[in-house]
Amino acid sequence: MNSVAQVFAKQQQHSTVWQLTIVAFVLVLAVVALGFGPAGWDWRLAFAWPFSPETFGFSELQLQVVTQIRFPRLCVAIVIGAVLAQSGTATQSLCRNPLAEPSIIGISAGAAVFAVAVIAFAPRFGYSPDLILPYAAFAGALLTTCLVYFLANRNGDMQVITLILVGVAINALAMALIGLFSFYADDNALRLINYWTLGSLAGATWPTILQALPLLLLSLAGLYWRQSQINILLLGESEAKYLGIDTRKLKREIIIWVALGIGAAVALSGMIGFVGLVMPHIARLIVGPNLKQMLPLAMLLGALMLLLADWLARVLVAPAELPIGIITAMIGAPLFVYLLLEQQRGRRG
Amino acid sequence: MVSQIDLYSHTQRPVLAFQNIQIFRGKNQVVRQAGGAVHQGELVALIGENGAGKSTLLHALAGQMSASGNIEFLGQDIASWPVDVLATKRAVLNQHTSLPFAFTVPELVAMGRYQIAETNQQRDAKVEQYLACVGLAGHMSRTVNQLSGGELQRLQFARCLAQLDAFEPNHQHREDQSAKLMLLDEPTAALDLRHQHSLLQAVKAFTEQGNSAVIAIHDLNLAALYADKIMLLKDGVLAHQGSPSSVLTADILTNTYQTPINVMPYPNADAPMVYSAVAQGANQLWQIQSKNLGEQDAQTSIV
Repeated sequence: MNSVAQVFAKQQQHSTVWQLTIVAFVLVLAVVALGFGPAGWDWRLAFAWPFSPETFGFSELQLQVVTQIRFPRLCVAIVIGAVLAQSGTATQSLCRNPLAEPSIIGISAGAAVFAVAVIAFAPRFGYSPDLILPYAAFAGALLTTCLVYFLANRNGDMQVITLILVGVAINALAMALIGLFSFYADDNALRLINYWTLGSLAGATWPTILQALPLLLLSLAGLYWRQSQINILLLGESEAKYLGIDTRKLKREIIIWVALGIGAAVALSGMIGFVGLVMPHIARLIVGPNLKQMLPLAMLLGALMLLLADWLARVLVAPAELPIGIITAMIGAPLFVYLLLEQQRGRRG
Repeated sequence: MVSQIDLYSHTQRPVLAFQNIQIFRGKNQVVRQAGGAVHQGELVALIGENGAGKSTLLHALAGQMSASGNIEFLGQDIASWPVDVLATKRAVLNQHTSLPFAFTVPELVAMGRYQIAETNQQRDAKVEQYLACVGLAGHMSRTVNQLSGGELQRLQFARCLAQLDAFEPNHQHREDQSAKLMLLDEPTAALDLRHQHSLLQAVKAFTEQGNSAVIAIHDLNLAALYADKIMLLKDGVLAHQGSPSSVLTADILTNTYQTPINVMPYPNADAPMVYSAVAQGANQLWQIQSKNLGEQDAQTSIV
């Protein structure tokens, strides 16, 4: 018979192996993302940037593409992928529902509405939208998270159907508002808005990244710090309270960190769906629901998925570029259906 | 040397005391009048018919439901206890819990130890001890969705035991400040006969160390066998409380449950045994019906 310590050790070992595997995949994909693209198709590009252009026979421009375009996008893909997966996990814990996800229940759309409002109206008042964008998106995400939470909450639990219906309503309202704002927007703003609604990492340049990065990292740290409490919240709100957790405070914190992360992510890259839904799901299928093992794996998987999606977005229709949201939805939606069916067959998840 | 009787004498401050409890659910008044006390070392059974307000009262006593009146745990208003301190002194077992996330069996019990500062080795030892106590040591690598309803109930009970470290000898049990309390809502509902008794024996062992427990329970005979005190709820009023033999009488029970109930001495224990006086009559009624319908029809209609 196994002892408790052996069972726990085995679980941890299993999850460590998976984490290391995904880290290896992320590293390989990082080389691919840095090396292969319309401006140059050579794995050595990933390593050539510290040297002079002549060393490997690349042009100055190619190296600049790597350092000024590909590298910032690589960083953003990894951070945002992790943030989306973690926020998805946190939302699922908050709603005690494995199908809750910021883009499905309308949080991303709420952030996008505020972001689009800033893009459309800020220039009219003589402000540059860039400065306030992440904060406006944060405000939108915060407002929607609270709205969803209070509309769908029944004694600490949320029914899938209520959540999804609330999400449908909020998404529809958000799309209507975005449409309304685009009506007042000029051509330049219109292009930005279009890019916002489908998501893209093309806007990720060092200045915008540096602006959003502190918010993203804060959200990552805040939620990661609370993982053992969030874990217990999965048992149910009253159970968590009986086990000594100040659930009101914890829920408030989760809402703020999720809104911060999603707000900053939307400000930087627009609405990218399904990462926060599918990656936590896969992580749960692999290592179970315990956040200690599942959260790092979900974040790594999120980074991996966004890295892959962004690279595909750049190369599939080169020299043009696809919005990344299209790719994540094309990978994510079928996977989501598969997971749903799998879950209904009573497997672990 | 302090005698057993002195130790648990009711002159001391009760572990849990409540007065004038009234609870509304919407416009519906579920609990109209309840007051009582649970003392150190007492196992209290809360009984009453369906909808009498047992669970509601239990959750109010846990501080989970807004109720008018006073509820004091160890002499202090239940709402004024910091949740983290309370968690080390009091555990609550809910009746219906959905677990949409498939934790493993030891993970769930380990969560009971959340507020306790200890090394992982110490925690694992406690988890093992309390899993063995509910007979689930052989299900170590299962997840909660692979358990039956009864096994899940025992697992949640093991979590409560681990939370309070229930069988750790309570060295200062003469001071009521160290008393721990367990509130259990229908803990035996999904259990087979053997596990009903082993669960209640575990609760009994817990209270005999100077701790207290309140159990909402339907099975009157289990209540009679294990409880030190019975509290009987009727239509939201705590109508009777006292020793099993004083509350579990044919008169009180027949009146409460609106059905003929008899009481006789338990064959192998010093406790009242409750049985339905309807059973014999029902059997006769059934025989008459079967004769009229013909044996075959009656049997198919029962299925």
